Amino acid sequence: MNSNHCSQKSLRLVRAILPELVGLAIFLVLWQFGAMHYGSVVLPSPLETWAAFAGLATTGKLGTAIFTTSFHLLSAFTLAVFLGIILGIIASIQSWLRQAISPVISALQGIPPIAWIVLALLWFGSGNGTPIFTITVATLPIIFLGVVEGIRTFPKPLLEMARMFRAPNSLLLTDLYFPHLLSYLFPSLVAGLGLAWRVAVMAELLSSETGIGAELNLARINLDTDEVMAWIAVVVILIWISEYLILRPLRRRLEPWRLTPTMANLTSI
Amino acid sequence: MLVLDRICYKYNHRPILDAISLSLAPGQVLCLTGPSGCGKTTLLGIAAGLIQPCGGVIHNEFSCIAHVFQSPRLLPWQTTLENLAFGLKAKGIPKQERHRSSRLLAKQLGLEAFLEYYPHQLSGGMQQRVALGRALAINPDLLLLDEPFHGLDIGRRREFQEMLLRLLSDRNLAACLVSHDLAEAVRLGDQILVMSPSPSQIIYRWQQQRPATARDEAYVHATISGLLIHPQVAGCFGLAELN
Repeated sequence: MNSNHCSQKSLRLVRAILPELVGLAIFLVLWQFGAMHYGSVVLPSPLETWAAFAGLATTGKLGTAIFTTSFHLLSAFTLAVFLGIILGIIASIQSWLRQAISPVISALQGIPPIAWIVLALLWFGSGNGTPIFTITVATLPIIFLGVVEGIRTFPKPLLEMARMFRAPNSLLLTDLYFPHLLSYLFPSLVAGLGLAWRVAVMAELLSSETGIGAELNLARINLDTDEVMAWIAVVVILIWISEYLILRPLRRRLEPWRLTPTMANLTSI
Repeated sequence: MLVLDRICYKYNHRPILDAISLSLAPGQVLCLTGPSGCGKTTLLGIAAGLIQPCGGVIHNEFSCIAHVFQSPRLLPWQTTLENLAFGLKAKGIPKQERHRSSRLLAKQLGLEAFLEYYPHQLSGGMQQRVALGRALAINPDLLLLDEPFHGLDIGRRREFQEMLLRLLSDRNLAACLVSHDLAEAVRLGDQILVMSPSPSQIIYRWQQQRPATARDEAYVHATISGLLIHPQVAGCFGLAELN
């Protein structure tokens, strides 16, 4: 009875993510054809990449690199979120403050991450400092703009309603400002995290001796295309994990009221 | 008892309300009606103490005033139960107690099957019921309603009106209702005040003859015709020009 229930559950899961699986399968088939056409030195096949991946996993290189890159990413992204929220709140208190901060933010947004890496290399050398600094400055504007937009669009009628009930300020914060802000911040967090992964790998590649980016560089120097492909696959898998297994479930938990019907069906799995 | 005496209000130096006086006794329903934009909502805000008048005296003996707005103004991230309990939460009442009394209220409002729903999953009429429940939850002795039937079809409107009348008489609640629908005013009001276009004055006062239970269709229609015979009333709605 129980196993029957379980298999029903997994059947529903497969049906729910069927479009994703189809997309993935088509991509793998195209990749295989490409590999057959160009040869494995230029483009290793999915199976060769898998073999290289398995090799990395057994030597323990994989775990160390993932740990280092995750450390860079999480510490920098946490810092960016923290600074972005504080600056966003400060900018929202007075309109002239927002005006004063906004050219700085659009400059930060416009400067390509590679320019920051060059600067950071001069400042911090080849330690953890360069990736952490670069990720922070690259993602800060996204978070900041999300916060400013969230505060700017706060619905005044709800505030009037809460005032009529003589709601204390602490309740305004927890039941009005925070949930509204979160709904604006979430897309910024998703976009910011995606950017953070890309910048992290790039910064490590150019500046570090550890991390996924550094390992990717090493594989390039050794002309080991299989391993290059394997590291790229690692990054892709990590991005999937952070989106599908962390951010989306987190959103379902924090914002059940935003669920569209299709997402509501997913939560019932 | 709520007494407003010669209330004036200006917005951007433009007079909106010009010496408005009214009084509302406990358990009574007062209907404010008049053309769109004559300052009815402003007057309600002044009665609630949310807006400071430019002149006049307010004498309020009601201890707890609750407001139902034109749009439901529910918190989109909270369920029906949490929205109903919002006013109680603002008063610092513990979770268990406020949820218990909100459940009781939900039953009276026919919302017990929708307690776990979010506002966007409810129809407009349901949302407005939640807003009414949220106001009633804090046990007010005066209820201010700003066109609470706005945007409801005629069936839902009548349903809501019946429910409101029942709840008001059960709790012996006073209410001040803004409406630009004369039929609604006659059905619900013990007292009807007709306001002129701004700067508004009260140009006609009408005292209800029958108790709420005895106001049938024929009576409502006859009363509206009776009201519109008065040239001031017809004039303020712009009907005189049409005729």
